[in-house]
Amino acid sequence: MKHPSVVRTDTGSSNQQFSSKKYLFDNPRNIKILLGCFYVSLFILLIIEFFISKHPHYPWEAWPEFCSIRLCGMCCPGRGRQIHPETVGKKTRGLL
Amino acid sequence: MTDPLPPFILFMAGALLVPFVTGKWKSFFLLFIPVLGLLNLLRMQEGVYWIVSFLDYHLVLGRVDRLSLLFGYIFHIISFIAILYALHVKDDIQHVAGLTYAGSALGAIFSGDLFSFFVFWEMLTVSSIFLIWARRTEASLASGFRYLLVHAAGGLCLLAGIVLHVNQTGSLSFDYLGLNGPGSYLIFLGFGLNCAWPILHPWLTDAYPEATITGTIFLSAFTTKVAVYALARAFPGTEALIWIGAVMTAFPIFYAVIENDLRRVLAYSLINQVGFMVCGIGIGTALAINGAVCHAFNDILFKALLFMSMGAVMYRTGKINGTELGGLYRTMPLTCIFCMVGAASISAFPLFSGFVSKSMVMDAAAAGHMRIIWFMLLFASAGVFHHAGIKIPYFAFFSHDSGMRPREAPVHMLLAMGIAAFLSIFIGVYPAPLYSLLPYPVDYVPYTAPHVLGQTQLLFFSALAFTLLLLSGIYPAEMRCINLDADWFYRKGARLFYRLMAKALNPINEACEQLFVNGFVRIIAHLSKDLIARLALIIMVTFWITTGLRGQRLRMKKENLYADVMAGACPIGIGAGAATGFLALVYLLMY
Repeated sequence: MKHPSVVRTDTGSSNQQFSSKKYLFDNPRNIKILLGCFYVSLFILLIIEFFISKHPHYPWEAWPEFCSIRLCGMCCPGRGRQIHPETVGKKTRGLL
Repeated sequence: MTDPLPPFILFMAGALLVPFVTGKWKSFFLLFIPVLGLLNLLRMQEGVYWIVSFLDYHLVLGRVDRLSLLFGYIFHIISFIAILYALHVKDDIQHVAGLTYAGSALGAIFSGDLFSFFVFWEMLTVSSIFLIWARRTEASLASGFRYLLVHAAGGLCLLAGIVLHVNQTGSLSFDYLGLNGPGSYLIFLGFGLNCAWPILHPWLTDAYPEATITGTIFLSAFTTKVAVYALARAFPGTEALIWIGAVMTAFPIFYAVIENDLRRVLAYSLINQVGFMVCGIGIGTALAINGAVCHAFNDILFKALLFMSMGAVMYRTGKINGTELGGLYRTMPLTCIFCMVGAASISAFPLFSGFVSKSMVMDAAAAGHMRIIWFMLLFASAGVFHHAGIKIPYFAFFSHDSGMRPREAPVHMLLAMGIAAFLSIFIGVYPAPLYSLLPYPVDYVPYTAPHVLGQTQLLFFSALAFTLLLLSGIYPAEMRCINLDADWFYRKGARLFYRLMAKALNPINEACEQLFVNGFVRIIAHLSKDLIARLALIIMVTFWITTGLRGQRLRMKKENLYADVMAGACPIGIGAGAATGFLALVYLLMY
């Protein structure tokens, strides 16, 4: 399906034109493959920990899956402070 | 064979010659300066050079040791990359400012005394302002003025500290100072301002995103890193720096996540990365100092790479807000790849440069049993991956399709990004050459199985958190607004200060006005008006009465004398008499 796109030059001028070229992530299947690889990588990382001996500085580092699952929750800074799904969330949901 | 030159001389001389070189040779000339500078630097041996006598002091323009050499190398490398990136710029002001800025940074790091260090430190400020103003927008002009005011205050603080320190110790030497007196505290604060310590940092996130596309590359490399060098030189092992650095690593994450301007996101991540260096310097062990300096070296490269990729996007699209970009991987694939290399490096992915340096600081914190600090650094490692590692490439090159199909970045920009990307990967894969340049012998192995696994787990599961938040639609959204950040304290605090001062000082002002303006000054003015006439009357009336003058005649003479003196028409003899009397009075008072 053709969709309008904007071609911009470094001089700042722009003009509308129609482009029908498909790129890598325009195909939802490629995104699914990428996410699949990502989930598999996560699984492997979870499993491989049991086969590697740790040298922890602190006792809690020796806990199973400390760096993976427990620290995962730390990666949501500002969650709930400014939630505007209409700006980013919905737009990106389509892609993923 | 001639002796090596002071490293800053080549850049300063090059900056002076830039306007006179035109045509196709200009690019070669600009690139030739850092190349020549690096060749010059490679010939230098450790020692003290170029000592200049000034008053009773000896100024050292070239103190070459392992610490200054390492910063010297990276400053030359990044100058070459930044100049290559900026070859399309026709504005000589930017080239001159960039070279002067780089030269000032080199001058500062090779200074062996506080006075010459201060001179180069101030030159850094002055030259960098033009990289902001050169964008020639209202916002950049205002931002440049704010930058100037803040750095002028910091410079004064540093100068006051140096004066007090020299007065206290009698030494101008720029070596370990430590916190041992009011002078050293002021110097510490002066360094801290350039280092963008918490609360003192808004100048950075305000000014850097307003600078020119190419100017930001220079800015990201020099000011904060010279401050890091100064702290490493003068205050290693200062405990306060551990906490300051740890706070620096953590707080920018919250602002970066909700920031819309992607160059401002990078400015926040710059503070975050400098925090690791400051923390390492505060810990002060050989491993920590090595880690801090090594991370400074790497950060200059990958931060410049990230700023360059965002600059290329801005150059081609004219936009930099996350909400306006997206989908650019389609037509800017190389820029996208370079950006992802920068993102992987700053996130400390194994095989990228950040991995081999950031972990040194964290290991030093762990070795020092600093649990809270270690945990804060771990949080910051995950956080920086969130905002700089994922957010920057994702919102610029993927995310929703903005509909823009700009051309790929120009060749010279791609080359500059390519060099920075290559170095980031090379150092990540083979850190031994960089380790061999560090100030202390390195006994550290970054690639151990638990370390690689732990870091990979941390980053991958951070990415999972990002993905889940995004899929559920609760990822903190970018907003078209200005994050006031710590500026809030200045804006609200300044208003409060103004009100308090108005309430406290205005009544005093009014009382003074009543007393002095309406009272004392009026009396003085009244007396000044006819004081001489009245004095003349007192003297002459006494004289006339003794000579027997009375009644109508005395009154007429009094009126005539008053009118004559007020009109300035009194006889010359009276004027001469008054002058003689005045001189006699002065003579009597003196003896």
